[in-house]
Amino acid sequence: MPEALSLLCRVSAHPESRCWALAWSPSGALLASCGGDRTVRIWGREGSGWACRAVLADGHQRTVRRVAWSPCGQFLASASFDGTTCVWRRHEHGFEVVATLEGHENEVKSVAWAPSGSLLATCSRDKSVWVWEVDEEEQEFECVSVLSAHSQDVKHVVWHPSQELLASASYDDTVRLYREDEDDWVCCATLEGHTSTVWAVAWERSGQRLVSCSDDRTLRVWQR
Amino acid sequence: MKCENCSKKECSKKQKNDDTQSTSVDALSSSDGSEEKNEFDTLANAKILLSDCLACDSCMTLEEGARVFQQNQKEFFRVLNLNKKCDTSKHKVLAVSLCPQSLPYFAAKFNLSVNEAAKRLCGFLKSLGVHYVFDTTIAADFSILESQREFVQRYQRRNQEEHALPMFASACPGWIRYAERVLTNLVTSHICTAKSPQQIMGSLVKGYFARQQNLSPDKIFHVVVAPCYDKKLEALREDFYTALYNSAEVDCVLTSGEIVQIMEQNNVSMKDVTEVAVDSLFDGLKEGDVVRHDGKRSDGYLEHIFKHAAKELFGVDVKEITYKALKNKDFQEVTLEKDGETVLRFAAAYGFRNIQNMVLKLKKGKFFYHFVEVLACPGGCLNGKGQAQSEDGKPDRALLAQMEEVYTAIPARLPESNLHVQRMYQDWLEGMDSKKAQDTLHTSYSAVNQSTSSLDIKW
Repeated sequence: MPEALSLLCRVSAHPESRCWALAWSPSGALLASCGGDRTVRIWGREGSGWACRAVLADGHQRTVRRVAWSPCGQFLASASFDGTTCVWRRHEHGFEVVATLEGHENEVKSVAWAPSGSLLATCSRDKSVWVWEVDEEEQEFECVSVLSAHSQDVKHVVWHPSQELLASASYDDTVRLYREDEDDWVCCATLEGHTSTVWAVAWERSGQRLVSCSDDRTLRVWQR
Repeated sequence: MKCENCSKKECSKKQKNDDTQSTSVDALSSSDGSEEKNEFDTLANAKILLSDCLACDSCMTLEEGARVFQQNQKEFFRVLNLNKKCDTSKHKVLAVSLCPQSLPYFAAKFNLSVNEAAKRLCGFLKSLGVHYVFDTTIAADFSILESQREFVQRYQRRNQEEHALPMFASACPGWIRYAERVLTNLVTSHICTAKSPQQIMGSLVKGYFARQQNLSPDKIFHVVVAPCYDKKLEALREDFYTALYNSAEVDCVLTSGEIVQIMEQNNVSMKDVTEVAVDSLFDGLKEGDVVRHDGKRSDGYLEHIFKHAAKELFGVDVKEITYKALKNKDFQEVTLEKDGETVLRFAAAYGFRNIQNMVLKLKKGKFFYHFVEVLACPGGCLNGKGQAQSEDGKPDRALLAQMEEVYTAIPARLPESNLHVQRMYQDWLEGMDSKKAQDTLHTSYSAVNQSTSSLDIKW
């Protein structure tokens, strides 16, 4: 098949433990991975292979479930089962934690940066989705909204590619969309149709469509 | 029902909660069998709309959920009906206390003035068989006075005691429960120990009033009409008083919305109800026109404590307070300047997100306010989930705006000028600084650490 992908290399990323998620840096030069060994690892090209450039340990007490790069590539967020989300800043010699976002009741399942880089979203088994505002100068993160629209564990949050519109997927079989309304965030749409847990969503680059995948073994494509 | 620790594929989706709109009481997970299923269903179907502070499972046990649910119309009518039966040993004196934040709801909803609303509500309740209808403003007077004094004392101790400042308000049960169950002693040590108006009203009705009427406390069934469901949880709060009298200070909390439901079920329109003057705790005396405490959307703590502190600590007479909204309209700041310096910094933080930010800053040591009026509901108590929600569970903004107008129009009165309160301090409480006053009007909070599972979930 001309469009098939061929394997470049295989990396043992997180020794003795599950590798949960990956994220390419915006420039494509680095790859971040996270796993059950409670670390985040940064990988870069080395010759024909990939080498580990940094191990971000001491950030979390439990499995790191998801990592996400900020649009500018200077920050990396890591969401963990320990209930916190760490924000790491990249500098010459590595990465350091600049903020720890606390507040979720239990395991954080996903984290995502808005395209503008000034908002961050997290979601958790506590059924809520939190929106945080980033103050880059102060490196401060403030909670802007706590959205409890889902009735079950929220698995994934993803921002629209160009608008401040957030989508979330949940064990309650729905996808929900959120946007800002006056000075708070509200759930502006509920996409029903799946008959089991919705594990993830993805926006098409133009932002016209959204696809969701579910435990019901279907993919559903949604359009406005 | 959600199964908290479920890692089984068989975790039945059939049991899922249909109600995705409201933050209803999602009863705790249970790996036990069918017995507890019925209770879960009941709680979920009851649509008990707790504030966001109590939204997760850490904050309320299943048993508490059941006791919260029991505070409903059925219970109210059960007691009323027992009074109609012959067995006098089961008769109780029914007293209903109305919260000042509930009255604007009735006034706005039925297009009445707040005084008409109070008197008609009183007339309606008495027509059902209620013996006394009180206004809890007097209890709020005590609560504010005690909070004012405590603030000044804490301010004076601020350099000796780590936990003296900031001081957090203590009237909101959602906030208190969240602080006790989820936050640590880092936060609870800052909460003002003055009891909330509801708790003080309980002591006033079952202590003071009962004594005046020669009744034993367990002969009074005390109902409170409140703007939210969190107050039902607060009614379960035990104090030394409860043990002393072997009777809860508040037996049942009904939300404003539940009272309206009772009216609708009885085909009663507020327009047709006869006005009856509201009672006071003092024999024969009726309440005058409704008064309130200062404060735009709140129960008055920030305003009164600020003015009192400005006078006591800095000799400044503050007439009007200017609020500055920060990140959002539910986080407002008030400062006192003297000789070019900011000497007092107060804040009002309403809603879960603002509480979160406040706690995070406190943990980082970057919190510079002396006092914070904390409320679980954005928009304050008028926006309590027991009254301001429309059918689909969303806040009814138009009604809320009307309620705010009604509330602002009520004349304000300083707690210091309530002569009854002064008299009660002397006669009933044996003086403002007495042990009795301390025991009756103050409580304590403790941070309860829940055990957390350290097992890694499989997904």
